[in-house]
Amino acid sequence: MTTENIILNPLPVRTWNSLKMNEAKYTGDVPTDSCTPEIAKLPEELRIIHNETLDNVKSAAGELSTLLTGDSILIESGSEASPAVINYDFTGGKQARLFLHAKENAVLPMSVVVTGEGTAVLEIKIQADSGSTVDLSVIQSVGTDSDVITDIGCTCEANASFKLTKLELGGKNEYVAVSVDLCGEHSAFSANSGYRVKTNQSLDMNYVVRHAGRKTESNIFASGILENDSTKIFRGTIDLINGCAGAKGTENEDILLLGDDQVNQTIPLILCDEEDVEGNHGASIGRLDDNIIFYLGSRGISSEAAEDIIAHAKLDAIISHIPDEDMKTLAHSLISPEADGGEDA
Amino acid sequence: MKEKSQVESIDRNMYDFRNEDTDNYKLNAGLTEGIVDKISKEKNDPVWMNLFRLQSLQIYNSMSVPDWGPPIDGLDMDNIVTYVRPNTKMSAKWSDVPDEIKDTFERLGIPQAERKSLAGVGAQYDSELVYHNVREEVAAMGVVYTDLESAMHGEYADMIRSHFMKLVKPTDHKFAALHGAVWSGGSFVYVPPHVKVEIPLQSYFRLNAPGAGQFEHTLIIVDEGADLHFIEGCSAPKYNVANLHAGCVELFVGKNARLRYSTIENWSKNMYNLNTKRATVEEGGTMEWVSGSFGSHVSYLYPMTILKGKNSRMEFTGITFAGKGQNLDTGAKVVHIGENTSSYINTKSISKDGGISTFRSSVIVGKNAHKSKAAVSCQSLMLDDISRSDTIPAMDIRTGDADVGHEARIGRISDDAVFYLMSRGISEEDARAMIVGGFADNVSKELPLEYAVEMNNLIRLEMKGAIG
Amino acid sequence: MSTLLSVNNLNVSIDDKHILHDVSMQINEGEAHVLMGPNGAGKSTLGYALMGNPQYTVNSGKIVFDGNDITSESPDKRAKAGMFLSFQTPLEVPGLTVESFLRSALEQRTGKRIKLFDFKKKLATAMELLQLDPSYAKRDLNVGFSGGEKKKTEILQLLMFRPKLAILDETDSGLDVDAVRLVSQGIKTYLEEENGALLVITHSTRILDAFDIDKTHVIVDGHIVADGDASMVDEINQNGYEKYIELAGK
Repeated sequence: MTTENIILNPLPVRTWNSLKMNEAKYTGDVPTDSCTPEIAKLPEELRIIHNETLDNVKSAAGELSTLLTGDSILIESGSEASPAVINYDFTGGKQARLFLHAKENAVLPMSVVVTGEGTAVLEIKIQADSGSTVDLSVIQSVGTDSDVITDIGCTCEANASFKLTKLELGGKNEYVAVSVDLCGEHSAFSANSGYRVKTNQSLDMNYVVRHAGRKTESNIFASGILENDSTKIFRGTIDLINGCAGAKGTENEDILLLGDDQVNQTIPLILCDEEDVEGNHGASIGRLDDNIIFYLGSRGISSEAAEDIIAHAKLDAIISHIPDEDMKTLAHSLISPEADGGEDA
Repeated sequence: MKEKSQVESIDRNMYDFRNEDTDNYKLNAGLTEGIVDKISKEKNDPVWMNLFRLQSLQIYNSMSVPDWGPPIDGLDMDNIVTYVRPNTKMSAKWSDVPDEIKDTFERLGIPQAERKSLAGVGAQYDSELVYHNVREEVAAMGVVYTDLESAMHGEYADMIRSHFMKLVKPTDHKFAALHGAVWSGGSFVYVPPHVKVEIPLQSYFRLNAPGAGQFEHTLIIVDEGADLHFIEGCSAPKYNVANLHAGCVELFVGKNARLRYSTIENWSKNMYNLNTKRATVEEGGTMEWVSGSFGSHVSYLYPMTILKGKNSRMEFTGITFAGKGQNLDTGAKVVHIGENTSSYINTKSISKDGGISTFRSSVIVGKNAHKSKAAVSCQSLMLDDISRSDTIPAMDIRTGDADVGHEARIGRISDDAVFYLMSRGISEEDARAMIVGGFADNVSKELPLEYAVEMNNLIRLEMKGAIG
Repeated sequence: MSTLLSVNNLNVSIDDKHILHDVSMQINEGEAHVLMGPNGAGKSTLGYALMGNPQYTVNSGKIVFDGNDITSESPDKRAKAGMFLSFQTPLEVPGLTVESFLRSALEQRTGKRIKLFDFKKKLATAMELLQLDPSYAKRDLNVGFSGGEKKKTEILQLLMFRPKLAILDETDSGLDVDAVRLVSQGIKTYLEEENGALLVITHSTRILDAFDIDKTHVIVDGHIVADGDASMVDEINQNGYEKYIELAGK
C-alpha cells in the first residue's frame, strides 16, 4: 500500500479553477494488494479467464490507471446468459480488476457487490460487441471510514447496449468514474445512479459519454439524497462527436437535500460538433416540497417520516433497474433503516 | 474626413497619448513601470490611482493566462505594450477598414460620417451634441453622467476612489490586472436616491474615438430606490486597430434600486474581447443584464452578479452568435449571498459556418442564502455540422433550502419548420432567418425597439452570409 | 374551365419506402375535390408531395400547376405560384408572431411591401370570421395554441394568402362542432370570394357538408382506386372502405 497524491475524475473541458470543480485531488492510500472475487452466482453460459485484461477501453478516472496492476479476471459471454453475481470484500485495503466481454448478440447481466473496511479500488472495463447487451449493477456498501474509487469503462459496437445501475450507500470519500464510448451506430448507454451521502461523507462522480456512432443514445440519471454536512459533485459530460448524426444524449439529476450545510456541486457538460443531434440536461435540486410534506402530514405522517419515505422512494426507483432479483432484495435490505442499524452495531 | 461637423476632441489625452512615445514603445517590449507611469501622468491621475496602476502592473506580471477557455495564441503576450499603445503606423485610415465592415455599415444603413466614426477613424461628430443634450437632461434630475477620468478630480472623487476596481479586483485574472494598469476612458454614472431615469443612457457616444473603448472602465452607482437603464455599444461593428479589448464594468445597485445593463457587442472579427463585468446588488435591488454577442474573433465574457442583500434579484438574458472564424465563450456568473435572493439566467447561442460558441456559467448559492432560487436555461442552435456548441454550466449549492433548476438543450432547426414556412411562400433562406430570429427573441424583446430592429437586421445579415 | 393541377403517374417514397404508386389526378380552376381513404393509405403523403416536402422523394411522374411543371420546385416557389397546404399538425415557431409571419409571407408572395393599415384591416376581418381573439395576432405562431386554434390559424392563412389551390389535410380532425362550423365558413368564404380550387384530404366527412363537391378520389395503399362524383362520399359514409380495399388487393 502506498500513499499517493493523484488527480481523479478530471472534467474533459476545464472551466474556472476558482470553482475547484475541474478535478478531484486524492491524497491517500492506493492499495496494491489484489482483492479475491467471490463468485456467488455464475451461469454456465459465462466463461472466466484469470489474469486477462481488455485494453483500449477508456477511463474517466484520471491518474488512477498506472496504479491498477493487481490480478484480474475476464468474464466472457457468448450467448444469452442469466444473471451473475460477484462479491468483493475489500477489508484491509485492496484493488480489484474485472473485465467483461459480451460477444456478438450476447447478453451479460452482472451484479457486483462491494463491501469491507479499508480503501477499495475497483476497476471494471467492458467490451460490448455488436448487438450485445451488458447489464451491470454495482452495489457499494463499504464501511463508513473507507475510501472507494470505482473506475468503469465501456466500449459499445453497433447496436450494443450498456446498462449501468449504481448504488452508492457507504464509504467516507467515494470517487466514481464512468467512461462510455458509443462507437457503433445505434449503440446505447443508460445509467441509473442512486446515492445517499451521509454526514461528513463525500461522493465525487465523473460520467463521460462519447457519441461517435450514428443514432447513438445515452441517458444518465443520477438521483440521490444529501444529508447534513455531506459533499457531492456530479460531473456529467455528453460529447457529441462530428459524424454522430441522429444521436441523443440526456442527463438528469434529481437531488433531495435533507438537513443543511451540504456542498452540492453539479457540472453537466454538453459538447457538440454535430448538427443533427439532441443534447439535454436537466437538474432539480431542493428540499422536500412543502406541499408534499403538508399532504403527507394531513395523512398523519411526520415530516421526518415523510423525508424518509421520499428518500427511500428515490433509491427504490434506482433499485428497480437491477436485473437480478436476489440483488434487488439485498439492495432493499441495505437501504432500509433496520439494516442500517444492524450494520452499525 | 471633412464631411459633417468635426467636433474638436474633448478627450485630448487619448490623442496625445497615441501620438507620443513611439520610440519608447520600440525600446520596451514588455509593459514596464515607466510606461504605466507615463500613462498615469498623461491622464493626470491622482496619486492613489498612480499607485493602483503600478500595483496592478505587478499583479499582471505575476499571473498566467487562463488554462481554460478558447485559445488566445493570437495575442502577442510578450509584446503586450503594442496593444496598450498602438504606434502611429497602426493608426486607422478609412481605407484600412476591412471591406466586410464597410459592407455591413452599408447594409445596416448607417450614414457615411457615422460609419467612419464607428470604425474608430473619425473624431467625435454629431453624436457629441446628442450626448451633451442627454447629459443636460439627466443632470437636471441630479444624475451624474460623465467620463471617468475627469470625474476622478471633481466632486465625486471620493466616491470613485471607494468603488474603483473594488468589485473586479486586479487579482481576479491577468486581464483584469492589465486593465487596472492601463485603463483609459469610460463612463461614470451616479443616480441619486429615488431618482428614476426614464430614458436609457448610452455609452456608445463616448466610445467612438480611435483607440478608445479598448481598456475603458465603466462605473455605475445606482443609489437607494433609484432606477436606470444603461446601454453599451451598438450593433454596427466596431473596428479597432489594436485587437485586444480588456474593458471593465463595475455596477453598484443600491437598496431597492434597479439597473438594467444592455449590450449589443459587435467588435470586428479580429478582436480578442476579454471583458470583465460585475455587479453587486443590495437588499431588494434588481440587476438585469441583456447581452448580445455577435462580433470578435475570441470572446471571454461572463457578467457576474453578487446578490449581497436579502431579497435582491438578477436576471440575465443573452444571445451569442458565432460565425466563421469566431470562438465565443460567453455566459454568466451569479453568487447568492443574501437570503431569499433569486437569479434567472436565460441564454441562447447559435453556431454557424464553423463558428464555436460555448455557454459557460457558474451559480453559487452560499450557506446563508436561505430560500434562494436560481434557474439556468440555455439553448443552443447548430446551423451546420462544421460548427461547434459547448455547454459548461457549473452549480455549487451550499444551503439545503435553495431551489435550483437547470436545463440545457442543443438542437438544430427542424426541417419540418422550414418546410412549413416555405409552404407559405417564404424562401428557405428567409425561413431559416425567421426561425433563428424567433430563437433570439429572448433578447430582442428585452431591447429598446431601435436596438431590437438593429439586432434582427444583424441576424438576418449573418444568416444570409453577407458578412464574410 | 382550364386545368389548374395535373398530377401524372406520380411515384413517391420516403426513406426508400415506396408510398405513392402512379397517382394521377386533375383539378380544374374552381373545383372542389375530395381525397378519401383509410388510415395509412398515403393521403397526407400526396399533400406533402404536391407541396414539395423535401423529406419525400418523387421517383417518377410529373406535377403541373397552372401550366408549369413544378415537380422539382421548392415549397416556397409552389406557394408563390398559388398552392396552399393546410397542415394536419401545424408547426410551432417560437419567437415569430402570427402577425409578423403573415405580413412577411404576404410580402414575399407578392414581392411588394404591404401597407400596414390594409394588412391590419384584412387580418382583423379574417380573424373575426374565424372567431379568433385579436390577441392571437401578437402570439408566437402556433405556440401554446390548442388543436382547434392551430387549425383556425391555418384557415386564417388561407384567407390571407388567397391561393389558387388549397389542399386541406385533415383540417376537421380533432375539432368540436363549433370549430368545424367556423373552419367550414372560412373555407366557403375562400371558395366564394376567390373562386379557388380545393383538395380536401380526409377520412371523415364532417367538413364536406359545408360545400359542394365536384369530384371524389379514393386512395388505398398508395393507389388511386376509384374516382367519382359527390355521391361517392355518401356511399363511403354508409359502406366504408371495404369495397375499395378489395379493389386495391386485385
